[in-house]
Amino acid sequence: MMPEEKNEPQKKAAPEPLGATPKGREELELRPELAAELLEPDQVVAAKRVRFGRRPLKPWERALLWALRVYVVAMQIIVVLAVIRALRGT
Amino acid sequence: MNFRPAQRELAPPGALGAPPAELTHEDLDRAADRLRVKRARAAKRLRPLWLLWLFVGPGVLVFLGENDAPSMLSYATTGARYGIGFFLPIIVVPFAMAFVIQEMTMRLGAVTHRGHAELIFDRFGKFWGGFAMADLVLGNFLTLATEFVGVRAGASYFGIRPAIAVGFALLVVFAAMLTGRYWTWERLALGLAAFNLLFIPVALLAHPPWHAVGRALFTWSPLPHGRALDILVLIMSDLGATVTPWMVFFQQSAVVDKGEQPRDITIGRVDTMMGMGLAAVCGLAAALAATPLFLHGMSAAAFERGEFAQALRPWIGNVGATLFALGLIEAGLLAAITISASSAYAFGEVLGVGHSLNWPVRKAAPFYLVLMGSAALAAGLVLIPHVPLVAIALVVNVLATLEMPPVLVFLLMLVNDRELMGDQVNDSGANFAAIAVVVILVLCGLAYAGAMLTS
Repeated sequence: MMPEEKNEPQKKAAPEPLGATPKGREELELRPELAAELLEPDQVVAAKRVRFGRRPLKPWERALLWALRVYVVAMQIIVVLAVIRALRGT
Repeated sequence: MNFRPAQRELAPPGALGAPPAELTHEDLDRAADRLRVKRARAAKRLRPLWLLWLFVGPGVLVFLGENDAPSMLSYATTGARYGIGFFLPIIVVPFAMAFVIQEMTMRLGAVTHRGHAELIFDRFGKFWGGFAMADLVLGNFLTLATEFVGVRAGASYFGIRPAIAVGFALLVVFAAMLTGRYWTWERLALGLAAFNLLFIPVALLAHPPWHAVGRALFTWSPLPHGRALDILVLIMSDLGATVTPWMVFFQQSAVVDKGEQPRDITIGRVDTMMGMGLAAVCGLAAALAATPLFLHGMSAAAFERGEFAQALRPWIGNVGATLFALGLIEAGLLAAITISASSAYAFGEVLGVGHSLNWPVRKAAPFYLVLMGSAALAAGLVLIPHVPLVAIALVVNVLATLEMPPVLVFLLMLVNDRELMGDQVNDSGANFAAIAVVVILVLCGLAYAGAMLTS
């Protein structure tokens, strides 16, 4: 072992090795396999074309979503009433 | 390719385990962004700072974007009407609520690599997805219009004509999106967002009694006096100034466009928390800046059109008033950029067309058309004579609060979906906090409705 290596202080966390890192966007264009390595497989646009399947709603979830829908519509009506009142007042 | 359990049944024959298909322009740009991250993670020096610089973005933008023109006017109205007291913690607490929501949004985007609108349509179908989109479109359009109202109000302090101010704002929105690169767009927007901090020196120039500020934040007192409906509207308005549907749609799409991955969730949380902290301080500063109007017994009603800068000049001086007006212009500009992006992302995801700021305009025309079109329509609305802009501005934040519960329920269902999230599903603490936010919002809405119908 070299003396310099012996005296080297202990590092807390070793940095992630770079490996075969391309230099920039131009190199990624020339070597798309390196670009693919940088992305997760389902992050690629082609993978995103496969949609997620439907998740069946449980009865209580359906009831909750309907209740909230009624809530939003009722509140929107009240907001419209508030606007009409405000406009009449000005 | 790697498919999640929820995708497997729909994967085309032969796609499972197939090699990656040809990479698009969008993929290459995103890979270049990931390359920067890889380099930063391999750096021997200043690694945390470098990573923070790379990841700061969606969280800060969503929170400072939500410190928009109507929000800052709402905070200023709060300070002008009620001074230092109960409403100061009412401004701060919703930011904590918003953090709970936005953290889930960030996690959902980093894990699924899909936007919020896309996930709602995929998992719950067109029927429920249609409702979610209708709420988003209505809320975003009205909010966008109020951003231009804010720009107009801020510019009026400098004697700039409304058409010129609104036209300039529209040009800034267009210029930001024409970069054809998410990274550049994000950095430009962050540069603009820094101007939100202008409200801090304005608050300092107002010389608020800091002991009273500290007491109000910890004791929620003195309590406000006045009509219950007025107080409730202001509470709803301050809540709506912090917790809104577009934030959920925007941050998730931005996280996806930025290319964040599950391993980035921790630093994504730091970005979101930074955004929350900065926005809370700036929101508080806007309220404190307007407190001289309360302390000197001025009626706040006259300033709801945004004449705060002129009204405050005797107490905060020319510099303070100028900064307030500039802050208002920035608030409107940044929100116009982020909200129009939120609409465009959602449309692109639902229509299945290119929906990334990494695409050049000519290759993702529908996406950019929605972005430009929504901004242009909102800007046009503001310039039509006799349009009730004050009524729209008053209603926007209230409407945002009222429309939030269904958005949150969809978010909770998605973030608890193990087929999508795997090990990153919500824990019980996050679920409890999110359900508490839904209950608070619904109770506020019901109290508002009750006060409105009985007044």
